[in-house]
Amino acid sequence: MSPILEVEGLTKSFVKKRNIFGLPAERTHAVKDVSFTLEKGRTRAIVGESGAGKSTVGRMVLRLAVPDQGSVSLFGDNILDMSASQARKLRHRATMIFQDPFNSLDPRMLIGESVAEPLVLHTSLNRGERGQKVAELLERVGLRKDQIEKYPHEFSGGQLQRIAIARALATEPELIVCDEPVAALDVSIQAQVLNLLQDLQSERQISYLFISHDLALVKMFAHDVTVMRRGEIVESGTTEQIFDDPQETYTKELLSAIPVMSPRRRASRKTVAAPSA
Amino acid sequence: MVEHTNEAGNTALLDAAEEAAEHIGLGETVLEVRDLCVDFNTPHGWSRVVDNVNLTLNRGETLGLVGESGSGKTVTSLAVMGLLTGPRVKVTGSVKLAGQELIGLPAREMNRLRGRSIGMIFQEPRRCLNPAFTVGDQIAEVVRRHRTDTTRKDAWARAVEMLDLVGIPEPDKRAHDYPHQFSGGMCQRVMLAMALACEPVVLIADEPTTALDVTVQAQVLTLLTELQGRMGLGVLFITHDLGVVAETCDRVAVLYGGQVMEMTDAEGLFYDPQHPYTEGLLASTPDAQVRAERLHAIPGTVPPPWNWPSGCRFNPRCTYAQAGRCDQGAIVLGGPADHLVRCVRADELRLEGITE
Repeated sequence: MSPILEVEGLTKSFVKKRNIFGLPAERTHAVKDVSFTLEKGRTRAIVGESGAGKSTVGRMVLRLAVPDQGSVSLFGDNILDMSASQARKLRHRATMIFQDPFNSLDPRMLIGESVAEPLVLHTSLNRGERGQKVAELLERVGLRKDQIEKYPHEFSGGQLQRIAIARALATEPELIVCDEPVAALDVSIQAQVLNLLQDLQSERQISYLFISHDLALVKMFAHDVTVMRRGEIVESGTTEQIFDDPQETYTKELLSAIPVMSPRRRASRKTVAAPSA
Repeated sequence: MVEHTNEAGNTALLDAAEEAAEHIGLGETVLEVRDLCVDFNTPHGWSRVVDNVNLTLNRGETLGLVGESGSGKTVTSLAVMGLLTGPRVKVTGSVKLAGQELIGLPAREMNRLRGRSIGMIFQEPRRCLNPAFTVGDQIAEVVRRHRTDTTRKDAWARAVEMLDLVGIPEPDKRAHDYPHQFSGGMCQRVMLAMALACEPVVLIADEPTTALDVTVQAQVLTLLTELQGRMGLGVLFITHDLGVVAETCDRVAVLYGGQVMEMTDAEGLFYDPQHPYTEGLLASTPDAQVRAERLHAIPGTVPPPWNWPSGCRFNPRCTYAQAGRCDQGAIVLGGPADHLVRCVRADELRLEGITE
């Protein structure tokens, strides 16, 4: 089976300093030579500390940021060779869910309108069909029909994130880039959202690129893991390989820093000292 | 990281800390909260956000306050610090710090205690620091505020000493830096230095590591535990992360809807939870040690304080709830003193904790 997403040698730098002519004098590498693949119906997690370049990779995969070098092949086509309008047409097959649902939904649009917006842009459904589809979607993520005509501020964080998922699902995508989708939610709600994502994956064979800093969560949720640090890949492998037999010191440091859910094991735990930030 | 400390300087500092709190022995109660209630005047009328909370904190002990957002953790800590004032809030009950009643204390008196006998660190350290002053100035300010006879020079020296204590390399140089020159973890160390500068007996830590990366979180927690042991601090640790609780707390109070649902030592809570809410929280926290296929989700959300259900406040979300028993009357916090639980079915339920 050929992968639906293939990333090869992705590199992106941002200008850090400019000289007196306004030309770049110094650059920082946000992402350096990142390559990975993602197969249909699987989840690849990208983990790392803040500043590791995880989100930049996620954005480049959907061409929300343009890399300096490298290639991104989505469903077999290199999206970097496409014109902007061609790339936009792919956005119904590959969508994104962001960390903060309070800021990713328009506060002045009814949630029914927000969820219907991708349908207006990417499909030829008429108003009635759209309304029906929106109702179906919201029901699928566990919201009631009468909540369609409400504004984002009337919902809790977990509900909003489920609405954001409904919106991302509207065009029946094959790939969803999830950028820290549950980091802003309470644990009990976090489980609701993750279980929903898992159910959708088994129902519709959706692939997830799952960006997260929470390793315990990644262990449960992902099939493959890529560990990043300072823009570069440290280690990549299946979840079992990374968690049970990490090869790199940095991966071991990350794993040993996860709080252990067991007070009795507290004393026996050894901390691998991480370098200071 | 933590090993990096200037031994001679720190010993003197810690001696002073021990001396200051010598009249309270290790293991004795430093903070006693009795029947604490907080009411807010909301558009829905007066709502009770914290409902009859009782807590005791001993010297050298870490007491965890756990719960979801909206459970009253932070409001409890703000009430203890005397930071809830104004016409729209009512605080009743009793808060005793080393035997001294804090509720009803005049603002002037409270200002003298706050930062001196009781310190606090918050979730977002960078927001709590003034971006326009160097960190050294900010720590020195605290010292001079509470020890009026300290000279500027001594206060500055003290600031450098504190930065050294919290493990900031080259403290004499870094004291001249501004908050934006520090990373998030380093900012939290600076906050800790500031909170501990006057050798308080109680430290309130409100989600101190939530905004930090895991590796940095581990460093800050290790530092906090180490300093606590050396200074004999009583720490009230507020968090929503049970993993962090397992790493740091001696005893834990689980809050829901402004009430204590369960209170016991950390082992009892993790291995033998008695309240369905605790069981739900434990099951919904991902554990890197166990390979689970699926997380347990607690259905529903925390209701707002003007809309608490009658009976047990958790009953609409509880899988064990029984009509007629759980949804009426006031449910009391009962059971043996070392394992309190607020559940009418506590005796008949066999709940699952963490297995080793």
